[in-house]
Amino acid sequence: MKKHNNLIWFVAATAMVLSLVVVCNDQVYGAYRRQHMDVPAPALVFQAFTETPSLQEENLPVKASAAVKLASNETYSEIGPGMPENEAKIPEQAADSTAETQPEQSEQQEQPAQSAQPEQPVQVSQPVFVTADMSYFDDACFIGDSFTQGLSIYSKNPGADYYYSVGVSTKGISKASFTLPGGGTGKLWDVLGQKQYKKVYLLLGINELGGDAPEVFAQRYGEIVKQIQAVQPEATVFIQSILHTTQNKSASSAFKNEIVNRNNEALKMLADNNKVFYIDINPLFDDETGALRSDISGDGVHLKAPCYIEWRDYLLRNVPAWLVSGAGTAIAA
Amino acid sequence: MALSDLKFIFWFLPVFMIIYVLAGAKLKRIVLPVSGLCFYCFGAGIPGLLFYIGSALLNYVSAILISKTAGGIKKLILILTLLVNFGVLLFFKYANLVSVIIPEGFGFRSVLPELVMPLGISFYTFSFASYVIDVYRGTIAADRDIITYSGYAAFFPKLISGPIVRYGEMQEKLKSCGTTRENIEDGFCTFVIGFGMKVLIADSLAPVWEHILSIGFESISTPLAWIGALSFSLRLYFDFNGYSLMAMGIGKMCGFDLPANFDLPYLSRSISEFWRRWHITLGTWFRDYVYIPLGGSKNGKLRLILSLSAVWLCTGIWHGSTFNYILWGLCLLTFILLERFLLNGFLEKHPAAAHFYVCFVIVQTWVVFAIPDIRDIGNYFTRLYPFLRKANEFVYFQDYVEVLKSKWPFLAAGIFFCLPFFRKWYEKNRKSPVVTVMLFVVFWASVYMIAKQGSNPFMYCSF
Repeated sequence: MKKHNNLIWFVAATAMVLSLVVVCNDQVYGAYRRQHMDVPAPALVFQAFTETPSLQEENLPVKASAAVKLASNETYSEIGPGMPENEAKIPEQAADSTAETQPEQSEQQEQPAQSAQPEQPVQVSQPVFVTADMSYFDDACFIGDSFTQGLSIYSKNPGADYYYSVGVSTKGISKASFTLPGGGTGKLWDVLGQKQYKKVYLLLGINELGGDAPEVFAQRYGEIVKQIQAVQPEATVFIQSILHTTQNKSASSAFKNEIVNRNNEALKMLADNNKVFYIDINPLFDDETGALRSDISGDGVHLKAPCYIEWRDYLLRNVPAWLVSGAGTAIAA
Repeated sequence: MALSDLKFIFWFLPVFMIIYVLAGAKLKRIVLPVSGLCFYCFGAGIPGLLFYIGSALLNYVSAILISKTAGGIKKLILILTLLVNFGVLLFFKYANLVSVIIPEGFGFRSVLPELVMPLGISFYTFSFASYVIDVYRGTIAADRDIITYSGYAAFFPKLISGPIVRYGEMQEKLKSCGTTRENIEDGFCTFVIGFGMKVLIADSLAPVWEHILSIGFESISTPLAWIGALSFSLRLYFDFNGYSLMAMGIGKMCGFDLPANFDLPYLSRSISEFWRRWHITLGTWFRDYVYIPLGGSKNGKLRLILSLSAVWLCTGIWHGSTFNYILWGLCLLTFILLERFLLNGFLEKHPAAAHFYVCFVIVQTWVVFAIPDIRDIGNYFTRLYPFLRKANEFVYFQDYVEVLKSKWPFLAAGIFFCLPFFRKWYEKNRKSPVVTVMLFVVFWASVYMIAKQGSNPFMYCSF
């Protein structure tokens, strides 16, 4: 009868071999992969052994700026026909929305516009927002993460289509398995072109709060918006703000509202108030401190079921006028 | 740091074991407490460490004093020591004080947000109290040697989440520290089983409850309510049992036989039996230091009721500071009294019904345990029993389908490992290569799961 089963030796030996493999892999491929923000699983394992698996912000700014530089030949001007003149904001705050001009905006305006649009952006007066009825959603779709799943189940809005993948982030959106309208699953970019929508509501970001600098996140997000517009040429894209978390959750976990706010600020840059809008959902659910109200969230992050109806109605109250009248775009093409 | 952290498994544990094994007998006795204090410091920081050392020293000194005095003074010292021990514990339970680091490894604490207090205080306070009381009773002699005492007090496997070990259980081995190759192998196997239970089963079931939390209890369907209660019951068991096995395993690797904390509790035939098989070290602690001193079952019915009530009130308070824990303790007390006076005969004669009764009741008591707000408990029960109140307009009656689709393997595995088959098979085949391969796979699968989630700290969001 065997005396020992030697488990511990096997484990130790495997651990050593694995560390060697991981270190080599990281050395040889690590730099290349990090440039393309596609950190391979073994390197993640290696990181887990050596780093605290929480916010890795301290490690990333160097890599992040490198990544931004690599992509500098792609600018936000390709997203819409003109430069973002104002931030897209909810009309209730129309009076003060012009006040904030970001330094990055002026920087972008110096870069040559690449589209055939006139050099001087057409003076767009503040877009008019109206309230629509439920039929507005008949040619709309929602794309995103677990919040979009919540909308699909609880917002009692069967007219719209929903594409969601719980836990998805901007990094993994191409490879993630999405639940599709009508059941079934698939990769988003394989199926999104099959039906044409006039309105696309996007919500991502809650699953990557600890990851990258806001600019890097917004850049990836911008790529996604472009890809959506490529397969949905007639659609107006609505970037929904990342939702706040409750005070408790923000204080005690990686889901921090400071990061949410920074990332939302970066997302606002993507809007052009014509084909791409930024919609701030937070005023609907925030408490007086700017965090999510704790009575409407069971886990500090997600919304309880009844909130999704309010969310849907909020979207209905903030519809660009021309989308309701069906009269083309605000700017003469 | 917790026993399931990768940093612990791949840095702390190997380094500790190598030093421990290589050290001579005398050095081993020092390695134990030093490693324990380092371990605790990683988890609790310097303030927590100082507090803990203070508590340990207090009890050490008090025990020596008790052994040197007699009569009234002896009793006085005991009472004072216990007052300080439990006073401090109650203070932390009920005062919203400066928050100290919440342990991350003991997963179910995220469900109990009120447990903001020095790391492991509920466990080590009871441990020290048992030591002092045992010295008073003459069961053991006070340990004059601070090194061996620290070896007991700061033995890191049991430090943060138990088991609650009595000094007598470690006494002999403390004096002559040593371990064998067989101990190390056996201990590690036990460790891996516990590790797998916690990571592969418990952590996989945790998101079910989080999902239900996020929807809001009023808006879930009845099937989902029951699945949620079942998931929570399984998750709690595998998390706590897993962790206890990990502690036992490391204890065995060091040559100590730490007491088991669980003995297939879901096989019980009465709730009284359940609580002799669940968190055994806590149950025996209450039995030896509260129930029997108060009279127990040998002094008439009234005494019995009093003793049981004291035990269950204290058990409720020990588990948490919100009122639902007291309510939970009272629920269990009710059933235990019912069994004592009415049901036991029936349960003994009808084992099938008894099994069903235990599982049916216990799963629902865990619901009371899990939800801090009393009104929310009510909401949850109206969903468990939908005839109590009509479902609100937001309930999506197919919500359980997606949950079942992704979680049924873990529910099935959970139920299977609650049954005795695996344990019997394992005991028989412990040394066979099949077990080695199986545990090897379990170990690396668990490591992989932690690494995957660790790189994405949003464990509760990926559902």
